[in-house]
Amino acid sequence: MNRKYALVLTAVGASMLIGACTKTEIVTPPTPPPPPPMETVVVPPPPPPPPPPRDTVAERRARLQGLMAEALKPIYFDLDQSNIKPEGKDILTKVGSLLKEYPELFVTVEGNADERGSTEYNQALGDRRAASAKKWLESFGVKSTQLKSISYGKEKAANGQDESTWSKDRRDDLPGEIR
Amino acid sequence: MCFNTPFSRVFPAIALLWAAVPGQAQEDFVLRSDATEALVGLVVIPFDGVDKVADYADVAKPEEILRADLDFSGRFRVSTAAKWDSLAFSKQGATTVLTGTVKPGAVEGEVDIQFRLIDASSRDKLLEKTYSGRKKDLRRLAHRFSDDAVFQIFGERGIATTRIAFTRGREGHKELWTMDYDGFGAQAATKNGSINLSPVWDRDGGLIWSSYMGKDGAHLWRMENGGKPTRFLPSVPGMQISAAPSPIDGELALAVSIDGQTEIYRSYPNGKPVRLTFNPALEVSPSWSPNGWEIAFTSDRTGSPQVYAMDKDGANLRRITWIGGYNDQAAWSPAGDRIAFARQAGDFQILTISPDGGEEKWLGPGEQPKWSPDGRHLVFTRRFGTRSDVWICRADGSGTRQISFHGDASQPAWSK
Repeated sequence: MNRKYALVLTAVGASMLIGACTKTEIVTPPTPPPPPPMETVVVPPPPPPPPPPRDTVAERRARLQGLMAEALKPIYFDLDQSNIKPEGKDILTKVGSLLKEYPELFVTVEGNADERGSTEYNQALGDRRAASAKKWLESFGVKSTQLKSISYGKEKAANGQDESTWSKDRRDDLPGEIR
Repeated sequence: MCFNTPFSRVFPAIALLWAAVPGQAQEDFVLRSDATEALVGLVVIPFDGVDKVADYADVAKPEEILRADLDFSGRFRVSTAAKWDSLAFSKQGATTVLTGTVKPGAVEGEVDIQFRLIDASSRDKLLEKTYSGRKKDLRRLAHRFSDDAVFQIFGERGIATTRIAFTRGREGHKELWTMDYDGFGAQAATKNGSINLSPVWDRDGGLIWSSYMGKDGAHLWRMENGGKPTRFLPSVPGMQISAAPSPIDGELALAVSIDGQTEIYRSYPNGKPVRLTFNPALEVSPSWSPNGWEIAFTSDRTGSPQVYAMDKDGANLRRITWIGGYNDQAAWSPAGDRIAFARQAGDFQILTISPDGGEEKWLGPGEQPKWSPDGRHLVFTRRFGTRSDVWICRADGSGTRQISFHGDASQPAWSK
């Protein structure tokens, strides 16, 4: 029963759409702009891939190193959290684009935690943070073979005892390596 | 006489005293109010020949080491006397006398120390032993007789010859060390320049720990006493955060993180890991019950870290701690009747709780508690600012004493 109604309804809908299309076709006047044959003139100047890898291996490496220094910035987390914040997403977007453009680039996501809490709990928390950024980059389209994640827990935390230190310790570092 | 005072008898007194001084959280450890009735009165008389034989200028005398050991053991009421005085001993309620003689050894450069444990009223020798060694061995010889005395009187193993493993270092570099339970004789156990964490003693005296050697995240390593480190459980994937050997058969309870998801597993050294927890929260720091049936651990499944316990197959899961927003680092007592843990409330505090979640008792400031093999003591770390050192205390919080002094020590573990 239901299936029959559905069939009828889709049939009606389809006919209405066809009707609508035909109607608009009738309404629109014959379109006047016939594209002038200037295409031959437009073609030569811009070649679609911006700078082709014409440069030497050394030049490409130097350029990538410059881009890495710019893009591979740490991302920060809230207390006991591992979700990527908007500022983190901006950084990861740049990192992800760079990784996609340069398949020879390899990034280790290093998760860290502030010095409060136990060694072991913070190792687990750091690993959650590292995995969170790694997953984000993978869903952005980065190949998982270009990524690795490690947690240092609180073992690299600064010796500060206030929120300004702690907030800097709750981070993923993204050191890169050209392979 | 009751030597093994049950917690149920000891703790009501502490609870009362604690309630009376709620604001004082620094150094106020509560003495057992019924301590005297449970303790054996023991008199230590200085050893003969100490000054004649060895240069003791920079080494504690045998009677001083024995006195400290037996006092901290929590089994004796220790006093000293210059010489034998039956009347005074009787008045003090001292039933046992400990003394000895130091003589030049048969081997050049060695001394023989004769230790004697004597009944104070009959003057019968309860135990007599002679140990030989060089000057550097003198502390160890005295510790040995402390444990002999405990065994002679109580029929139980003492802790005077035990050692404590711990980590030393700060940001990015920590090595494993071991030391005597009283803080003397510290030695580096690793020198690999990496980050070495969470040491535990295996049942045969080996050390198992998690290390960042190899630059590929944390993995478990194992080392025989004085041997070379080897990768442990290499077939277990992921980041290996910590391992705890079952006191019954050596099966390991593990905290392992795979793709950011830390769970509790168990595995025999050459076996396949069995996953025990299935929860999007993180689970860390497993600790076996002494009968090897249950595992206590930390989980943040309610949004904050709390201590839980489960059977070794993952069944019968239950929450143990309910007070406070951060309870972690569970350590099941060798007797099975208490679980020590650390609560973060500003600074860390050490507490014990019954495995059914009742009778929570506060012991003092500190974290990372671990039990002595006789279950009568705890080792832990205490922090002052950025300094962290190892401390020991009796299981009721009394006798607290600092045993490391470099300000960079943490994660102590008491040998079996």
